[in-house]
Amino acid sequence: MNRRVWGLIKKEFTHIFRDKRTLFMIFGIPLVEILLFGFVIRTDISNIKVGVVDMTQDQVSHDICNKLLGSTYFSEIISVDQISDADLLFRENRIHELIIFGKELEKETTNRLGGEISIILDGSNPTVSQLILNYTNAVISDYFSLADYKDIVPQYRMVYNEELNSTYMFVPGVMALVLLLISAMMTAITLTKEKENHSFEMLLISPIRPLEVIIGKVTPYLVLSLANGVLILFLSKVLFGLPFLGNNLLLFAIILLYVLLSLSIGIFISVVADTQIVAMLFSLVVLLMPTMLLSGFIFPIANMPWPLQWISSIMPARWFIICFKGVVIQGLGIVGVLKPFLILLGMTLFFMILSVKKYNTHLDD
Amino acid sequence: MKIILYLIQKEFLQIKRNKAILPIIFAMPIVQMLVLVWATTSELKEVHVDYIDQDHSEMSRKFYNKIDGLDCFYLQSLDASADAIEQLHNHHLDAVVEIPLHFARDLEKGAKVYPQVAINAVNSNNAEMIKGYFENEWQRFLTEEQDQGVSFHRLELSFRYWYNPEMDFKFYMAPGILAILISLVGMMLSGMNFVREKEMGTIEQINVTPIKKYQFISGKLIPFLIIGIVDLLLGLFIARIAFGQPIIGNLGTLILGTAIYLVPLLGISLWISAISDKQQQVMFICFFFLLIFILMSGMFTPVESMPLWAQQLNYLNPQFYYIKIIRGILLKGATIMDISRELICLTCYGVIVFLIATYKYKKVS
Repeated sequence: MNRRVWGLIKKEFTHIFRDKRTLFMIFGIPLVEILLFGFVIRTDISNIKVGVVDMTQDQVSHDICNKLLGSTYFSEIISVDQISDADLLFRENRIHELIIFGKELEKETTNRLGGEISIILDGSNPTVSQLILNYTNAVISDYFSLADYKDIVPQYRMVYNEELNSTYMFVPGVMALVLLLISAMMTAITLTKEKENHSFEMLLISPIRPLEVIIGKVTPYLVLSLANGVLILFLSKVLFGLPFLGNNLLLFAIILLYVLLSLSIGIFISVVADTQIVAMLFSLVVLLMPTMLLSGFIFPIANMPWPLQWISSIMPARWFIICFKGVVIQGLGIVGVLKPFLILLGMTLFFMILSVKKYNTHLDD
Repeated sequence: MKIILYLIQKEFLQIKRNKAILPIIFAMPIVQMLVLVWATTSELKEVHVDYIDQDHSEMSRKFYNKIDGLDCFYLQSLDASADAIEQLHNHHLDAVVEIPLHFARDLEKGAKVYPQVAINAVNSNNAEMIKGYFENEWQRFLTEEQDQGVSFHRLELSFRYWYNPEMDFKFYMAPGILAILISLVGMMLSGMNFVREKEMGTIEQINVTPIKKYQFISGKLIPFLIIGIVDLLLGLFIARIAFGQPIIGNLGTLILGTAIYLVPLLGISLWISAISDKQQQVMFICFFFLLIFILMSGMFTPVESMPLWAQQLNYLNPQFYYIKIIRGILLKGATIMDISRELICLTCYGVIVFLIATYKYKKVS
C-alpha cells in the first residue's frame, strides 16, 4: 500500500479517535444489545395477572386459583364481581386474562356431569395471549386429570439447541445489525460529510486517485467493524456459551465478506446522497429497519407472505445469518454454506463495481 | 410566541426546500405499513415435517392425519432407515416425528409409548411453537382414543379473545411499528437538524439575535412534533385501508397522547445535540438510546417477563408509556382516564427534559 493511502487512513483514524462519544457508542451498542437480549428480553411470559369471576365460591375454583398461583407463570389473582367490570381492568392493563367459573362447578365435576370454565383473553396481544391460554389450560387439565394417559407424552429432542437457548437466535442477528450499522451507515455518513463540507473536492483535485480515497476512508471502519465482531463473539462465548462448532477461519472469512459488502453499500449510499441527513435516513429506511425485521433476526422468514420472502432474499443480513448459524451452531463446512456465501460474494462485487463506476462519473462533473 | 412561530416557519421552509427529506418523510409510513407490518408476524405458516412410521398401524395413520390436518404443517414420509438428525440436515426440515414399532399395541395395553419428535431448534421461538402444536394434537389424539373406550366426564373449557377476536397479528404490530416510525423520524431529524446548524455555522447567526434559548429549542422541537403526528396519521390511514386496522378509541386522544409523548423524546434528542458537535455523533447516540427504548418498551416482547430491575428502568423509557397509550387507544378503546397515569408521567418527563435541553444549549461557541 502506498504512502498516500496510509496518510488518508491515519487522517480518518484521527477523526474517529478524536470523537470519543461516537467511539464509545460504536462499542456500546453491541454491548448493550447483547446484554439486553441475553438478560432482559424474554419471549416467554411470567408474572401473569388473572382476573377471576367466581360464581361458585367453592372448593374447585379455590383449588384452581391456588394451583395457578403455585405455577411459575402466574403472579396475581384479582377477584372481579362481574364480567363487564373486566373491560376496565383490561384497558388499564391490570389483568391479562379473565377466568369465569360457572355455577355449581364442584357439584357438577364431582358427579361427572361436566361443568364450565370460560376464559377471556386480551387479543390485542396475540402471541402472549396464546401462551397464557396454553399455561392456563395445562394447569386446569392437570387439576382434573383430563387424560388418563397423562404421562404418555411424546419425547422431544431439540436438535442443534437442546436447551432452547435464545442466544442462538439473537447473536447472529445482533452481529448482522451492528456490522451493518458501523460499516454501511458510518461509512455513508462520513463520506457524505466530506461532500457536504466540500472537503471532498479538495481530495479529488489532489493527486490521490478516487479508488485510493475510498480505500483510505473505509479501511478504518473495516478495522472497527472487525474489532466489534470479535467483541460480540467474545461476549457470546463468555456470557452465553455459544458453541463454536465450525471452522473459525471460515467464520472469519464470512464476517470479513459481510463487512466488505456493508462497506460497499455504504459507499454506494454516499454516492446517491448529498447531505448527511439524507444518507442517514436512507440507511435507516433501506438498511436498518428491513434488516431488523426482514432478515429472519426476530421474525422467521418462512412465516412471511411470499412477496416479503422475496424482498428478504435481497437483504444481505439474511444470507449472513444463514452462514453464521450454519458454521457456528450447526457446525457446517464451506460446502454446507456455499450458496449463501456465493450470494454474499455476488452482492459485494455488484456494489463495489457500481460504486467505483459512480465515483468516476462524479469526478467528471 | 411570535418569535417561535417565525422559527417554526423557517424550519418548514428548509424542510420543504430539501428535495430528499420530504419524500422520505412521506414514503416511510407507506413502506412500513405496507411491508414491515406483514413481515412481523409470529404465526407459523410453513412447517415441514418428516413422519417416519415404523408401526404401520391404523393408530399411527390416525396420528399422521391429525398432524396433517393442521394448516401450516406439511407432512411427508421419507426414507425410514436414515437417522432423524440426518434428515433434518439433508432435507431442510423443521421436525421429524418417529413412531416406534408396536406403537398401537403398547398404547392399547396402556404401556408407555413415546413417539420421538426431533425439532430443529436453531430458532428457539419457532421450535417452542412447533412443540406446542404437537403437544395439542397429541392430547387431542389421546382424548379421542380414550372417548371411544371408557366414558369419561368432559369439562368444558371455552375461551374467547377480546379486542382482537380473530387474533390478527397485524393489528397488534401496526401500532408498534407506527411508534417506531415516529420516534425514528422525530428523534433523528430534530437532533441532526440542530447539529447541522452548528456544523454549517448558521447557529452563530441565531446566537447573536435576541432569540431566547427556550424559544430556539421550541422552534426546533415543534416542527418535528408536527411531522411526527402527520406521519402517524398517514401511517394509520394506510393501515386502515390496507388491512383494516381497527381504531376503536378516540383519534383526538391519540393525537394528544402522541404530542405528549414526542416532547420528552424530541427533548432528549435536542439535549444530545446541544452537547454534540457532529451529526454523526448525534445520530449514533440517538440510535443507541432508540434501540434500548424500542427493545425494552414491550413492543415485541412482554415487559412482565423482564427482570424487576429492567421493569423499573423502564420508567425512564418514554416509549414504554407510549406503547400502552397507542395500543390501548387503537385496540381497546382506552379513554383519557384509562391512560391518565401514562400521560401524567410523560408530561412531567417532557417538562424536565425540555428544561435540561434549554439549559444545556449555550449561546456561546
